[in-house]
Amino acid sequence: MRIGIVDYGLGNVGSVRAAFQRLGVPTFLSSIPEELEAADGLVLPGVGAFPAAMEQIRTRGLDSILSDLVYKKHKPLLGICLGMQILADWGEEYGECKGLGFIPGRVRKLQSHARRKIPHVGWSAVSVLPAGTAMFERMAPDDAYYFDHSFYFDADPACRAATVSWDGEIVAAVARGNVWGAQFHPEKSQNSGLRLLKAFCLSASKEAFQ
Amino acid sequence: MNSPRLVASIVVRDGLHVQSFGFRRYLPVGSPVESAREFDRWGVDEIALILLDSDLQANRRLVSEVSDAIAVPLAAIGGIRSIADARAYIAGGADKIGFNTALVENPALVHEASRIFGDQCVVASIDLVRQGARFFRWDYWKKNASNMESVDWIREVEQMGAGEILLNFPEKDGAGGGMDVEAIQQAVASTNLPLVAVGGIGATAHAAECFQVAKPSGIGVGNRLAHFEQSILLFKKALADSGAPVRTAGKATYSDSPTDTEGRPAKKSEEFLADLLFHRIEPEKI
Repeated sequence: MRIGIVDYGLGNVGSVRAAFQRLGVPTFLSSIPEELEAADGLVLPGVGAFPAAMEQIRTRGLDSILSDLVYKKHKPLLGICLGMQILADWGEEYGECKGLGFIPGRVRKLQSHARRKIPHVGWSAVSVLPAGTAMFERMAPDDAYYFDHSFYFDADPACRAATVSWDGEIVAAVARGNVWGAQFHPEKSQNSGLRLLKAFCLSASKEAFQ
Repeated sequence: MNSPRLVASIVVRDGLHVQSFGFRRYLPVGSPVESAREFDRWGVDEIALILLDSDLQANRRLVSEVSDAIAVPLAAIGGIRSIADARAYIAGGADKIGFNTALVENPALVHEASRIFGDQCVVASIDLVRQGARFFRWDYWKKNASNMESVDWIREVEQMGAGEILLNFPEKDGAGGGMDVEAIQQAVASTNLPLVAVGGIGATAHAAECFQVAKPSGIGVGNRLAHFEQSILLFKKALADSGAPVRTAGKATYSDSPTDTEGRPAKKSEEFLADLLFHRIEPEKI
């Protein structure tokens, strides 16, 4: 099996690649539709600001390429951090910005009434919701994930895969059919993160045999 | 709620991981990549590379080698003079970039980095020095206190768009006599940004004491980590024993091991060792 990392000029590609390497899964970096179609699963990484990411996605025509791969070719997709946030309909970072629209909801600025520190940085355990059953299938009891974000995905409740306790519960992961997203960084969360990436690979290989 | 982070501070000078004493004297430890790999294996929560060299190419190469060797977040601090430099660190695998001198000499650069990479990516590395009961910004080049009070300085770096503060104390650095808990407490109370405090840890109990009183988001340990095997696990044990909800990575926790005054493991009782024979420990699955 092979995982395609979507190349749009942003994102900590090296860490994602190294994490899959630890699982023994080969990866490649590409923005060419034919190459991405040959992958068993796609990963959308991302570091930076929402509008800058969407601008890069659009300049490379990746919005229509991804939508084709996800909906027509049923390719499993995992968005990480900003790559998860741009799955939303809309983002509110530096003004309104349209997202990929794969998962209903908006990306909003974190606001704390209890004077919690912003950005939300650090390791936290998550509470898994029914939509996250497959994604967190391999999670061990003490698993915690590394978060680092100032915006959060206010996703449609039906698509919330897991939440994390912050100032109230905020979305930690989303899932809708073959589209998954993690607000935290599985590639930076030691074995806890590797277990999630392995669940993605297993789910993707099931899709590949259908 | 987040677990308090235990951050390994790896100071790099002439390409080597060094122990730092008062920002003046340095003793070599060895390869920064090997240190990072060990700290990651021992379950560290984050690694901060403090890059004292000015060779950007070498720094970038090192960031990328360290990043490839670990599966925890990496902050690369030092030597960034332009957005292109910052981009080079991030492309090499840094999750966060940190500024120290630029906070004073080129605040516009910090602002720009925050706009481009997001505030969660930008660390302000601040050095403080005590004068009586007050704390002032320490001047790296002049090696003395400026007339800027710590709370004012923290407010300024917040406005530059920093998303995190790394607080260090040159006079405590390498001394091993404990942290300046009072200064850390004051700084934590004065800002809404996550704050990692470093400087002065000579025993695991110093970290536990600082967390109990000042409650920073993270505690950085430098020199001490190179003094004994499994140091990260033993620091986490001390934090956990003091009631801090630390993250455990894997089954090795030293939770039932006695330790000496510096936090190193002491010999277990014969009864305990005999009892061990009857415990089966399942291998960890990924």
